[in-house]
Amino acid sequence: MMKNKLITLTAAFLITLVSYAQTDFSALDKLKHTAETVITPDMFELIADIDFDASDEEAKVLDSMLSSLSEIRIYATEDAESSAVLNTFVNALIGKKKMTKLMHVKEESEFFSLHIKKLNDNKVSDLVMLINDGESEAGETVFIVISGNLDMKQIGKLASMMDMPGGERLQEATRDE
Amino acid sequence: MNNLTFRLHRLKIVLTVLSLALLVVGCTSEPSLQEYIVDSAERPGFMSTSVPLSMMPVETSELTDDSREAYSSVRKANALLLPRQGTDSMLLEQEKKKLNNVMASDRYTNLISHKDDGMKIVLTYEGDKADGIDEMVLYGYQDSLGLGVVRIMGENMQPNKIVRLIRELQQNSMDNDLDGQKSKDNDLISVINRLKL
Repeated sequence: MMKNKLITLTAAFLITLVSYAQTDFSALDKLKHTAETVITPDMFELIADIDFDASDEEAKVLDSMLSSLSEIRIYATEDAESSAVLNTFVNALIGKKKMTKLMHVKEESEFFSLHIKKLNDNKVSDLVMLINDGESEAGETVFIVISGNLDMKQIGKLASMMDMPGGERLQEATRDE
Repeated sequence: MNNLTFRLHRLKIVLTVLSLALLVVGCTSEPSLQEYIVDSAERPGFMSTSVPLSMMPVETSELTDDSREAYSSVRKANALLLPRQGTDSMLLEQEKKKLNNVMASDRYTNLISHKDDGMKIVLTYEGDKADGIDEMVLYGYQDSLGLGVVRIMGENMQPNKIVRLIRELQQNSMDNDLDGQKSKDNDLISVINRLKL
């Protein structure tokens, strides 16, 4: 009897743990002068079983990738205050998830960093990109987070297709080592 | 003792009435998108249009069973616009709030959203993941342009089947072209192509 209870409790604990693993982005909802784009897990679920015209090489890559993605969020701002909030948020996220830094580039006024949370040798569950670009106040901050069950090699291709900010850097980072 | 049961009984009645009242208020204070569109369409400044799918010239007899099912799952498309030009900015603000309220209902599942200063655009749907989509809604506003809602209504629409249906229609129209007969389906295909569906 006692044992059963223990198992139920452990299971309940694990379930809450798993649901807590989902990052809470509500802190970024009300950022001033900030563009926010979200592609939700429901979207990826909905289009996962659509078979695109497989004769096209790009569509093939896209098709296999779509089923491995679960969420994309992009935040961009030129507001100094919001930029500070974003930077703090990203650093906290990287710390909390114990993500590893894959690369960073610093040149002139631009600072780019790429962090990942590895599932195993070639799979990644989260990918966080942070770009701070700006000489003075009028800088721009871009924060991109992609989650799912991602293949590192495909991420670079995705970036080049979607014409995302930071795409070039991402391609460099994911090129065959 | 008797007094206590009586009190408890009364408490129960009060609670029941209260929860019923809450239920009624809850239902009426959440206007549906349907109501919003119907009510707004009649007001000055708004433009609206509704296209039943049966108006599309599609030869259903040429389709496979799956595609015919996909075709009949879509009922109509419907749009409501409030252009910025000629609209009082107070009214636009007011309508933005109203629309946001309607769409905040948890019966909608957001797919893609984008917002920035003075603009917002959301693709969302109502329906069940397993059974399909009953309503696909694209809504948004931009302060310089105005406000708009476009929705596609149907019953258990399956995105993968609809994509296949479109591909089949394209194939059919190509075959017809090869036969040297200009099919009337072409009109639909060109419309779809233009819409980049």
